[in-house]
Amino acid sequence: MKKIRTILAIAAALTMTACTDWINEALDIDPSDRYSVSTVWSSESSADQYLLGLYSIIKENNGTVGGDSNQSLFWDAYSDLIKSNSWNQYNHHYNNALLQGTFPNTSAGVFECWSDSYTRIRRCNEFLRDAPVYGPKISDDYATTRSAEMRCIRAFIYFRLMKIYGKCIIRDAVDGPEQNDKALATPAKVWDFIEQDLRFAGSNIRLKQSNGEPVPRGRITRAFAWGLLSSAALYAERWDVAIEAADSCEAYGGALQHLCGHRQPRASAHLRVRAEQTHAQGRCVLPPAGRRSPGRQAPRSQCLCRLRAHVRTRGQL
Amino acid sequence: MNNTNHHRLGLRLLAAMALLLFSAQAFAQVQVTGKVTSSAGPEPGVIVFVKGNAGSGTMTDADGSYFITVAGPDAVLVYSLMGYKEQEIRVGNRSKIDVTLEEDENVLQEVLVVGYGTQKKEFVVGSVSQVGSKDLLKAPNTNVSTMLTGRLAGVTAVQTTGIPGGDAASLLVRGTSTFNDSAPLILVDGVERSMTYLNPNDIETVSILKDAATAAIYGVRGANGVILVTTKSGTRGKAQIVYDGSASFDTNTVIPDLLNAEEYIYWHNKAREMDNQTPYWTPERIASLKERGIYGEVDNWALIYNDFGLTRQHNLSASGGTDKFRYFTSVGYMNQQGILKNTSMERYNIRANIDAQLSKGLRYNINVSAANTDRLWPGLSMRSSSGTWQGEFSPLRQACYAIPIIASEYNGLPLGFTNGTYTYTPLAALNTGFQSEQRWMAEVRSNLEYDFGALGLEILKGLKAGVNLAYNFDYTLNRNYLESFQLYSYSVTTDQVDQKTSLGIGESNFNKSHSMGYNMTVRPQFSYDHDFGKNHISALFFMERYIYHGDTITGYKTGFAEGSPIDLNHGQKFPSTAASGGYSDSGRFGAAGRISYAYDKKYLAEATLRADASYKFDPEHRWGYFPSLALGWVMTEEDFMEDASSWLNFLKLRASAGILGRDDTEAYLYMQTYRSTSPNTTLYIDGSPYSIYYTSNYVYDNLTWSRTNTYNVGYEARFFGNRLSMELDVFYKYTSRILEYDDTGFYAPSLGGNNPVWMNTGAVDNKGFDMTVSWGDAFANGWSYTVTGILGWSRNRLISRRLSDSYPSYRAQLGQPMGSYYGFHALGLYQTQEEVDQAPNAPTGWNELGAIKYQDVNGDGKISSTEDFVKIGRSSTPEMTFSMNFDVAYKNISLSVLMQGATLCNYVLCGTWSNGNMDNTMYTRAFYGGGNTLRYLVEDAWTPENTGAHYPRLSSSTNANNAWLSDWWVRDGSYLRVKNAQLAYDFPSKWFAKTPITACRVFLAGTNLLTISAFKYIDPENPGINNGYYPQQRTVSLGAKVTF
Repeated sequence: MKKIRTILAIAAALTMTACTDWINEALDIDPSDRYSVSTVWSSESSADQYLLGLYSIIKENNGTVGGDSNQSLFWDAYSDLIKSNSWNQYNHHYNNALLQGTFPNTSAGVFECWSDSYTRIRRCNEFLRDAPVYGPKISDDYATTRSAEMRCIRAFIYFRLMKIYGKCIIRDAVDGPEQNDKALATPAKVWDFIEQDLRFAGSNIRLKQSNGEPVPRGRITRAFAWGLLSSAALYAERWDVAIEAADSCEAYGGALQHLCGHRQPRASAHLRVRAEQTHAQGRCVLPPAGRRSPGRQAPRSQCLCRLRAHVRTRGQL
Repeated sequence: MNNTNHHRLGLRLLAAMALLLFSAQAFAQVQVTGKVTSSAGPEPGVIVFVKGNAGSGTMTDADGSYFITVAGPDAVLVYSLMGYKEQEIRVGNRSKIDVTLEEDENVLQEVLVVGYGTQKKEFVVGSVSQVGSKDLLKAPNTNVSTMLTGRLAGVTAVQTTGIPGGDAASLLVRGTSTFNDSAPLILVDGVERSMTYLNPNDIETVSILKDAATAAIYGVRGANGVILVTTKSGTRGKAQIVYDGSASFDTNTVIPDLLNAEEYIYWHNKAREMDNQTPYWTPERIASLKERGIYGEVDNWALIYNDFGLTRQHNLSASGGTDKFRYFTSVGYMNQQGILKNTSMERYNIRANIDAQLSKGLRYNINVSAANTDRLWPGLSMRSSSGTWQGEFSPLRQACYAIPIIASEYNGLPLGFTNGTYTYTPLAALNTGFQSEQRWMAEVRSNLEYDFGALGLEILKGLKAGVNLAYNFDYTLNRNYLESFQLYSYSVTTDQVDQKTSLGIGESNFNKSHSMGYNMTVRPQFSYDHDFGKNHISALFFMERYIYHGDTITGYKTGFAEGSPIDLNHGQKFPSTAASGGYSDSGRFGAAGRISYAYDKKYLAEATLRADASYKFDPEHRWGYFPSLALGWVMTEEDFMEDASSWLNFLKLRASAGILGRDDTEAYLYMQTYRSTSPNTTLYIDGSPYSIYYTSNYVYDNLTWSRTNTYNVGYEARFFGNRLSMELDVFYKYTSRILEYDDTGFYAPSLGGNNPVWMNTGAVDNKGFDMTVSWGDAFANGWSYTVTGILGWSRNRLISRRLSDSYPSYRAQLGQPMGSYYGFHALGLYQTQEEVDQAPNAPTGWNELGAIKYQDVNGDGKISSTEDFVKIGRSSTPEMTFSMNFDVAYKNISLSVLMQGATLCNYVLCGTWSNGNMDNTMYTRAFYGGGNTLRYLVEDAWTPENTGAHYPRLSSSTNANNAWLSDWWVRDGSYLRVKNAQLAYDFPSKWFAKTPITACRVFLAGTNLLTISAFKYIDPENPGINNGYYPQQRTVSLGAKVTF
């Protein structure tokens, strides 16, 4: 009797699992036009392709014609550095656009980038959430080195927000509807946050690939991170940080580049922005006394040029 | 001796003569009287006639007595009364014959097709309407869905176009109850399929399940109503072979009435004068055009339309069987040549429905059917990618805008008039390229059932177990080709003819796609049907699993030489996308049970419960439970209703309530998924371009099905000997948790999009009634008639929806029916300059004499769409549909007419582009698009001589002020059509006595024969975007049905 009961129980259990399997086969369907988590995190190259999606902010800021609106050449297009003869106010976001654009007090007009920046920040945070979970399957240091690249990009986006809006909300994790009403952070806190991210990046981005080859050209390097920190620190008026970052940038291979071709030893970080020079004329303009007043002309020997990191990070006027 | 013989002979002769006299008398007249009664007492109105001589009859009087003369004792008398079994009695030697009639249980045992089976009509407590093939096939039709118009209470069928291969009517059961897809569930023989390619001659019945009691058994799919189509099955008896053939001549119900050459010149010049411009078409210009060979008097409709379209149908079916084996097989062919050139549709159907009793108790049924269709359309698409009739280069559109004074050919190439952007060459556009679609469909449904009653045990009698398997396979081959050609373009501003390349076809291009799909349903089920004395119990329990898989591939090629064969191998260039393809899967699982109980055929109760799971929701929220309960009371079975039984034959009251649902959302929203981009050429790593992955959606963990609470109350009654029957149902449906999509900023943008955009928050309610009244009678002299009236009304109301507009409350959408039109309220046309000067600024364009004047609703001195729009019209889906069917027959001739109509709906003449911008159409502005114009727009346009005009100022250019949606352009969508008519003659069967033919019927039929509507220049069922569409067709057919 007991034997029959066990047999019946096993049979019942088997039928039940067969039944539920049969039912679930119809219901658990994988999408055919999209990728699942297991595909994307299956190998180093595919996970890197996911990371590369985050790089698009840099590409878009490099756009000239028809790229992401309002960020042409990091807004140099809105200055005298670039002139456009285009009549088409809709397709060329150059200084013409400033003449046509409207500037309502509820948005930054042609410089508007709030929603777009936060969408990118959200994508960065998603990567930050998933990398420690899936990264160890790829390699031990995958999560750290790639998160470092991601945090550099995230800092780049926050930097842009600060340049345009002066203050913003810090979202350092994937926030959902419950954090809808998070308050604005003070500018000091945001600069701290940016600095933190860039310091981490500057110390953790990989120096070479796992097989010993150098990192492919185009990926973010430590020099980039330190250079960006230096530029950001100038805006934040944290002069010591700027100097330290510039030094670290040079240590990792970044080189100072001069507008006029003069070789300058370590230029002082006390330089203010707004030093302009027309290269063809071979003339330099001394830095202005105040932030917004124009500079005055000076001979070559007294040229003080703008600092730049080797990989072109640009700031706004 | 001789004398005696003589005497005997004489006597015999005398006797013979007397007998002869007697029989002669008998031959002449035998009078028969008697009384006819039934269980209810004496029956008046019973028809008594001699068999074989239908015109010779009489009727019983109030006592049930009758009196009839017959030829002799061999005569057979037939006693007939509706609702009772007919009796035939040989007269013999009697002169008094009393007859007792028995009730014909078939009337009450009429069987209705309900969910997953059939039920005797007497036990049905839900709201079901059913129509049989005899009524459906009155007039030949190409599409089953259009045959349902006006036949079933509660069904709204709207046919928006008559194009071959695309002329299905969109069906709604009891209006719309949700703002997502409102299409009802359509099942053919219990399997979900499209009705479009069914052979209409294969259909036995179509029934509609309208309320919770009947549709709840379909759970997640049943909220919008269920349409069940049942195909014919064999009947016991000698094999019957039927041939059905017909030929229909199709014409357009109404096409835009454009100006001819002379009128165009006159009105266009006059319009230019009204604009203070010099006319183009001066006599000198016309003379110059004639001289150069450019002038031509062209009727563009005649260029692209044939005189009529021709549809031919042939159908051959055989059915028959024995007790153990029954079959129905058919073969059908339909060929439809459209009235628009280069449109056609061809269809082959084949079917075999077999029922076999394999052994005692084991029954097997298999339905196999296959269809092949071949549809051909012109190469230039007449529809935009969203499916609206906004094909930019559509030949229909070109025909409307081409002007009638430019010849269609010049120097061997097509010639068209250009308005600066487009050059219109309708005939050339119609003849270039093709869009061909061929489909092959195979469908199998098999059912194996064991009746436990065969085992002989009393308790098991009525218990059945079975398995139902269905498999549908569909393969489609699409081939689309466009050939670029050269044309001449005449511009009136330069007065030059230039050669150009065809509009919309820069380069000859071709694409071919193969797609296939199959689905499979497995359903094991148990059913039980038993009578315990006065108690009747029936129960049904089943589980159902459904899977679907589809796959598609498309290839593209360009660069074809003129005259070369068309296929991928013959093109010379690969475009940037040379091939694309993908696949998709879906699945469902459900289990349901239904229990019905009837006591003494008087008190009825039924309960159903269905549990469903959909692949679209995450495993925690996948299951939905849909219960329903229905109660019924057959009042006429009660003792206290005895007195009324003389006039009230049947009265049943019923009520039901239940919950149904839908899973109308995107799939995979509960999974974290990624998409990729093609290699992005501006993102280079180490010199190579890279494609990237990115996350694709917010991960939802709480989306679930929408839910409809349905309540239905109704009654069914039959009066006066079952001659008058009435059915009325009143319903209320409340749909909540409708899945809606809202990304308009309810959440802070700093969340970066990590917020839900799909929500279960919509709600709609829907109330209404549907009613069927039918009166029929038959007379002894051979006349019979039936009149059936159907009326259905439903009104929905939007209760809850995420709306991000900040419109004032007088144009709120909440609380109003869905699909209502909002626009300006037009006060009239500006008649005096003073009015023009004092008016607020036009919303766009300018104010002038003869322009439309709008009301400034909120009094702020401005006319703006945000503040001054009000509700100006009802939705274009009719709220009320009605029909009236007359069937009259006299001996062998029958006439049937179906009048069908709709009301409480509006449509608008101006249009909205797919980006939301409103604009004029050729129905609202003369010379729209720089082309021809409709006659009424110029003849009744405002001019200083015609100030009482119905249309704005005559002008050849645009004043955007008149393009806004306002009640000036809203038209009443009510209409009444003679939808269907058939005059048929059955040849007397004695003509075919010596031939294999047993019956032959010829008929003359038509559809859409006459339409009465408020605005006669466009069909009231138009699809709304009035930029030219293939019109609905009026058909006249001749056909025959021969039975062997």
